[in-house]
Amino acid sequence: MTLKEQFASALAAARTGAPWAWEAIYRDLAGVVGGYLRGHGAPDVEDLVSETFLSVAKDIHSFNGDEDAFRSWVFTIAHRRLQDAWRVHGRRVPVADGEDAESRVEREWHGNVEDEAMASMSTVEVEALIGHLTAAQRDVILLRVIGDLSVAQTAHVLNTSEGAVRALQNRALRDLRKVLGDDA
Amino acid sequence: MTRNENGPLSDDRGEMENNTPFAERDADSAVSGRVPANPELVPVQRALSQMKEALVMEPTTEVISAHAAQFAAAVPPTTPIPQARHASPWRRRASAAVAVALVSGFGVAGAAAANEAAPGDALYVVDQALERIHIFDGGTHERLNEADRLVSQGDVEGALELAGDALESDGEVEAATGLHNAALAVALNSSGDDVRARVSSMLQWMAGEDSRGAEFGAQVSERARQISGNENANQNANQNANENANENANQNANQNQNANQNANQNQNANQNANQNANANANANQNANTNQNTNGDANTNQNTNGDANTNQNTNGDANGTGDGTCTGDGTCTGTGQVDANANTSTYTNTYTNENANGRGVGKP
Repeated sequence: MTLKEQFASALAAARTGAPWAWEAIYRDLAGVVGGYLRGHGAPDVEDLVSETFLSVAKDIHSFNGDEDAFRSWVFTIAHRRLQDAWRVHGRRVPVADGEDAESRVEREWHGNVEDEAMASMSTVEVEALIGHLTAAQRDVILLRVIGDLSVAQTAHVLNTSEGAVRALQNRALRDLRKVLGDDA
Repeated sequence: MTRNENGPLSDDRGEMENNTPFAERDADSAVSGRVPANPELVPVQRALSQMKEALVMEPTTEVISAHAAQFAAAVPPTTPIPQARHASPWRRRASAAVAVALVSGFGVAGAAAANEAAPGDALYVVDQALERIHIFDGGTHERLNEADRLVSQGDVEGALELAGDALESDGEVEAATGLHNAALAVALNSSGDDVRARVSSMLQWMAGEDSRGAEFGAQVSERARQISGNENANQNANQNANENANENANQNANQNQNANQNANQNQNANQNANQNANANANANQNANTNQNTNGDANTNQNTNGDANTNQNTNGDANGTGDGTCTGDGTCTGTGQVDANANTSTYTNTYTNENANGRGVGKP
């Protein structure tokens, strides 16, 4: 879901502080930015999303570029807010009950893959799945899957190379494949 | 079970016996919700898609509009902050040279007069140059006094902008934003004497206030809001003062008030847009008028510059002129030659000749 041809006019209006433009931008991105932060186990997702968009609003005059660049920029800010939050609250390890993430994945997840009727995972299942990834892999996977960012955009947000993103993505997919078992 | 050559050779945990990357296209599919060609990645893609569904929660319309107003209010005004004061050393040196020349040129009394200057005065540039080299050190206080002088001259909007700029360069962002908003509100609404009096008293209070910081900023934006005249803002401010002794609570209340102001600005913006639309409509009507009223060639040219319309007009006139004007002393040649052309002179000449009783019919 993107603003496409409306983006340029929305951005111009957003710079003048027009509420309708901010509604369009927020409607477009708040869900996925929140999803990204939630996937990382952020302490207070709603607050962080608000902080992210407040930063975007305050710095909107410094942004130049198209919608893809804007999306990368917003996620860059969200990523920084997340790191700030971790600095304050400490990183929350997405494993509950003292149970090892991997064994929980097997318990919670194994066998459910085939269940086509299942609409989405429970929070526990998501945490279990993501908990299996390293922090760097998690960054890449969440930006690619939740943020719909390209490899280049992801590399830009994480301030790394496209090659590094591809390598992390590949390792993450391979690890997930292993965790999810042989069902195909 | 897969027999893909890229697949893992064994499932032993902890071993990285196969690091052959998945095909780029398959990996891209797996993370972007498309079914990958490589069957190994199908369960991964499915799991990731379900994870996305679980994590992404779209906000409700109420949440969207409440937040959007807050973000819109947080956008800083586009007016450029004057940076010349901290600009290049060359600029400072040039200012110093100008100032020295000025002081030696028109004396201390003249410089003192310059120091009294408010924006718009001829001497204001001199005043600023002197401040730049710390003669009459024009800090925020002096800027505020200048703003007050502007109010007494009737330029309320300019005064608020100037005071806002001064506080902004002083780091008083909240107060500055409040003043800029107030200036906008004053510009949009007609400003009466009471507004002027309120602005003046606020500026005097600000100039006399030595302390800066959150409380100062909050008070300034509070007063600015009263000037911009919003009933909601006043109500909120009162509740705030009565109920809350808590900084966070105050901040929230202020944000809401800002939101109200912006809503008002938005209405004004819409009105402007409508006016523009009307202007365009008028332009179109003009074009139409030109096409319809063919008789008035000269008027059309002058008002609208619409060449096409005038051509039509003259085409008609020529049509009439064809049969009647041939052989006449003044009119013959033109009548024939211009039958398909577009000069308005033809119409005029022809009319005059008719009035004179000449040129009708063949000679």
